[in-house]
Amino acid sequence: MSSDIAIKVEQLGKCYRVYRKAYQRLLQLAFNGRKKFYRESWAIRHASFELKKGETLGVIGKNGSGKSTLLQMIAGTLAQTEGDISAHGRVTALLELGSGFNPEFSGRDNVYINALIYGVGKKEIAEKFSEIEQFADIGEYIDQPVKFYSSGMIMRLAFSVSVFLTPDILVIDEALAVGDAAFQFKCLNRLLTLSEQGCSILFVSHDMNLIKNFCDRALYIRKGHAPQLGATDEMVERYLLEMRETQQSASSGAQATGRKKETLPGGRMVYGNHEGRIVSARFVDQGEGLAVYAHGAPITLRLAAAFLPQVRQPSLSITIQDRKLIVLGGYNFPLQAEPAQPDMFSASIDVRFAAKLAGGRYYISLKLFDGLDESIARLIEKQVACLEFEIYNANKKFLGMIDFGMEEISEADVSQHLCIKAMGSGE
Amino acid sequence: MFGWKVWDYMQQFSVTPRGMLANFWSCRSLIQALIKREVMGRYRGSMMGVLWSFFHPLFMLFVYAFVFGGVFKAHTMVGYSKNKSEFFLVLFIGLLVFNLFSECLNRAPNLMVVNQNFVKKVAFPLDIISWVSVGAALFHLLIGLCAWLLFYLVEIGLPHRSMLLFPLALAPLLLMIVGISWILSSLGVFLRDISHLTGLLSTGLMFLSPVFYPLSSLPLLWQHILLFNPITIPLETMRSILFASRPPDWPLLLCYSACSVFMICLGFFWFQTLRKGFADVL
Repeated sequence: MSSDIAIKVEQLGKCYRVYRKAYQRLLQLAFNGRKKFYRESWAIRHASFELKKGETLGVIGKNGSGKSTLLQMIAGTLAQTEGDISAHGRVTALLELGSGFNPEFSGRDNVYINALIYGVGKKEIAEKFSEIEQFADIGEYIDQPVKFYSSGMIMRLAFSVSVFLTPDILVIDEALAVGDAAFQFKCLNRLLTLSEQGCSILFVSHDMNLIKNFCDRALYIRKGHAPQLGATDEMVERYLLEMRETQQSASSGAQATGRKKETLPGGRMVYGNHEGRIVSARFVDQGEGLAVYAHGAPITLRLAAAFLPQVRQPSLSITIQDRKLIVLGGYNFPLQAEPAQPDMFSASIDVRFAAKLAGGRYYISLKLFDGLDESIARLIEKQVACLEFEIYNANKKFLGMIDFGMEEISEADVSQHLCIKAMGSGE
Repeated sequence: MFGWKVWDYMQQFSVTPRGMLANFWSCRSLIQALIKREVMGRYRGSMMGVLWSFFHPLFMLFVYAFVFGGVFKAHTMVGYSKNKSEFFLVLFIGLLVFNLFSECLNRAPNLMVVNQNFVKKVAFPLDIISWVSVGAALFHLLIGLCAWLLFYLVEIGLPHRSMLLFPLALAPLLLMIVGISWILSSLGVFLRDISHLTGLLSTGLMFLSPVFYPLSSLPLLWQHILLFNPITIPLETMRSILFASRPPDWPLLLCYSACSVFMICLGFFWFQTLRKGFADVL
């Protein structure tokens, strides 16, 4: 193994044996492979990657995809079923902060014990203690029993111990999720310093911004698939795509009327009842594939729907969503019904809006209602994130996600504005 | 280039006696710190603190002394002098040694379950937990021994200087207990029933050991059977050393020591082999 590789993982896999009854575990011991009493459940399989010295690797994936299992194996607390791991250096794992603390003892005693557990000598602890104490910043509580600590204080102390004992390889499992913003910032700074000093960091988080800003590469784990290693942006993109699919089914399934009707080509799902459907939805000026617009360019949609005559007040709602499917804005349009087939009405509508958005990927969701107001209307059909487009934006001056078109105005404009306002209130 | 060592992963657990010693030596300061925590932790929050480990065996002594000395008149049995206070002291030693044994035996099956954090959250040399458990029990025994010495000084006088040899009798017992503790603690992870068994076992062994009666008061056949009780030989040796009544049976103790060394090696092998599965079950 060359000296610039910190961790090497080859075809690593972990299989849990699931027994239906506890005594079957005993039977298994007795029969020793001649008969099988368990069901195999692979938490993770075919994981292969190398972590270079000083590199920060983000690990992303849904809950239950095997991230923690992987980290536990690397930390050395769980034996793998197949494959190999080798690590050069001291692996320090932050799997669950403060779990090694004894509540009856003071913070000081726990720091010493914890450090000894990590394999650090007494002399080194004594040297580092003031740094640890300063970083944790819990004041005189350091000499109080840990049972009197708040959960935030335990976390701070535990984190400080592990990052100040100069690990060669640091494994962090969502440990940064706790703690206030100021402490998180401090932690990240400390991690950056460590990584500059040559410490390799393995990092699980559900915060994609953190992953993007912080990690050199990312490992994307999907249940039942071999983990993929690649550029952070690409892996985050894949993860978000998976999340979107899950959210789509979850948010649609939450509706009372949200029976799954069909699956469109491309894996998109449609939910709703039989009273009508959205026939087509497309960008007017774009061809097949991903629609791309410059910032501020007009986007035109052509939408068509069909429904039964009993639908009194058909309406169509269009919402623009960001990559996390958070609604940025939208509009509700009443539809003009026209008889098309003997027992079917149809309506089509063209909609235009300006793409005054920050660069990135956006989704459009469509809902067909009976009734004008979304709060009292009845859902007929819902297509979550059925259209997607990308905004490219070379020269971004505005802040955030939506461009409100803010501009600087002259003194004359201000007085004119005040004048108009005064006239309006005077009448 | 940084003097990095290759991290010990599960597949590289040593099962040899040499690995056992290496683990013990490299973790000695951790063992020491954990024993201290264990001893102090037991009485944390209590006002009397460590004094409890002084009072506990004393109280037990009075109870047993009343039952066996006062009610059953055991001190009149063969092998004891008619001196009642000597009977107390003989009984006291028996109880101290037995308490060490039964405490470790009863705690062993739950050691891994109680210390789940060490199993699952950090890469921890789990084998040292048994050392710690035995070490803490040894501390309590030593406190009790101080109490014993105090009594001896008051009631009988200055003990014979052969008393200083008592670690020779105790050491093989400690090795034996560590070995047993390894086997029981690794089994206890998979079979929770073990902890109930050890409770029964330790009660049984209490009466099947020369705690309340001298070995010589038994028929010869029973004397031989009782030799298989792991505390019989160390306890008898301990008594003969402390009271300087008769010379200790050194060949027998040597024999026992050989068994202890075998036991601790077997225990280590057993523990390290089963260890890989701990995190899966806990």
